[in-house]
Amino acid sequence: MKTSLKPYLWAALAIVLSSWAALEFVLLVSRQLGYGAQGFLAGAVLGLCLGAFFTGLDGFFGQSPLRLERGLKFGALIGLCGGILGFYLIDQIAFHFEPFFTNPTIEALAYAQRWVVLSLALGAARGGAEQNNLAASRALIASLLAGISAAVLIGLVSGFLDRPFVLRGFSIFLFCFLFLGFHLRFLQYKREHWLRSLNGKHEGAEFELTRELYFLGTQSNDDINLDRYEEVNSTHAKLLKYEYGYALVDNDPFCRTFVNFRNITEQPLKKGDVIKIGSALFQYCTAA
Amino acid sequence: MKKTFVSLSFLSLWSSPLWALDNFLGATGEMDLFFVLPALAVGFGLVFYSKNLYLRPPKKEVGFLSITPHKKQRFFPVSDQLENMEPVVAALSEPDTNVYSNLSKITLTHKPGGVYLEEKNYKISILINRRRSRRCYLNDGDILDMGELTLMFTTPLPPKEDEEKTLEGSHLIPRNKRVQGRPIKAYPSLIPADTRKKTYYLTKNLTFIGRSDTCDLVSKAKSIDPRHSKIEKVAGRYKITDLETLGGTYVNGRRVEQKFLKDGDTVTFEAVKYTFSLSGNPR
Repeated sequence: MKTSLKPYLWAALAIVLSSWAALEFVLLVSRQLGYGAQGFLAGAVLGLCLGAFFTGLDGFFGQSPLRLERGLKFGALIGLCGGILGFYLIDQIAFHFEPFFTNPTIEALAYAQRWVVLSLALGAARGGAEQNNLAASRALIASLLAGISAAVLIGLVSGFLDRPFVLRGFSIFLFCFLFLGFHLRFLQYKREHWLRSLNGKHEGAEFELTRELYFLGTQSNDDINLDRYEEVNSTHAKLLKYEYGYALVDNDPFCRTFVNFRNITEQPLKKGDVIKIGSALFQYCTAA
Repeated sequence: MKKTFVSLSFLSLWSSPLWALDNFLGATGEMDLFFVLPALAVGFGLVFYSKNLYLRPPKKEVGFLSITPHKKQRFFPVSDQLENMEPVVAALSEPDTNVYSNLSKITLTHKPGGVYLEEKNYKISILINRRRSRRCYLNDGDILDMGELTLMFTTPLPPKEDEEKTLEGSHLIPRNKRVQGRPIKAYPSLIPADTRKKTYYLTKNLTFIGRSDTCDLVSKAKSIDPRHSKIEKVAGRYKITDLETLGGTYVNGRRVEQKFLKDGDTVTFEAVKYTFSLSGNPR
């Protein structure tokens, strides 16, 4: 992730606007269908939009088509499930078990949980797209916190906003910013190895290393995509995990890879090592 | 039973006035396409704007960026008045960072080619690009190590070309190239026309060519004398001399007594043919 928050804030605003618009559009189209169908559609659209946007965000920013595609698929599917579960099922339960829901508190709680469920689904999608346990648990913790706080705040605010249209927009706004904020807060929680980019397109970005194998190069399915850098080949080098950290391995017989400005074929990395691939400079960092 | 009732009543106390019922799906379809379409357009516009914002590298200034691991990245701009590294380190290091050098003796000179760094301590206490060096121009992306502090130099100027590169292609012999981290010389070579034979590198100042096993480049062809000709290095160039043989030595098809070789010349000893190459790249 980059050190500056600005692009993330703009992205959150974009997500809010487009998902709000999609929701309004769906509600407009399905005006004649009745309350139950509307709840179903609203949940589906919200889950779909937010899931796809939030999970695809990293791949979209990092220009990695593979991650983008995986994120969109995961996010759309799991977000859809979460949205339907949170918005539609609880309505149906409330409809069928009416005497239990006469208490206003329980009813309010039942309505507030939709944000928690949606948030958990989005978090599961985000963590699942990364395909690693640490990222998943991080995403789940962050999404749980974000969901609970969003539910509480939206519940408090809905007393003051009497127009449902404004309430819808405001709650999506609140939810998105809280979700993104908590996720960015927990992004670096307990990470062990990462690569910090020092120049060019990725300047300031920090690539966390958790998997066994990472490819670096200009090819579109390389994990750390280095197009727009000079003198880089497709799948130029790879990072291999071993017991104590990562080792950089030159993957291309015709191109050179440097660690601490020395040409290497294979080199275990230690804290603070500077990696040079073509014109791209990286610093390898470890926790503690 | 009682307990649940108490807790529920407590919740209801807490609820009613503040915690209003969520009318999220209250009046649906309130705003029509008049709102939806512009919001969608603006939303998708913002998505691409934020991506550009993310991918745009920050503006480059002349200065030092501290990239010490576990410390926050900080930037210190270099002005024309800056003469040594003292203020840079004072601004970028933290109180517990050890810098084992006399910083006032590491001077920065502002030359038209860029910032020139000189280390005037008796013992070199600084690494530039992880190598010990006394003086050099600072290029964009150069890494300076001073004790526990790691700095990166940034500048909008393009990097100064190394002397190595400018020499390539001239008549001079290319200098050191590095393979596997070790410097090797790119020696000029004799590439045989027969593709089954190996390229011979002229690693010595004097190379004898002939049929005898005592020669450096041995060719068992019948037309070649036991000691046919020699190639010697004279003032940085390579001279081929015929050693009074019957068959003779031919360069580019002409019989020669002695001749300075150029890049790409073909050297022929009747039946055996070589190409002289300065670049050192085998075929």
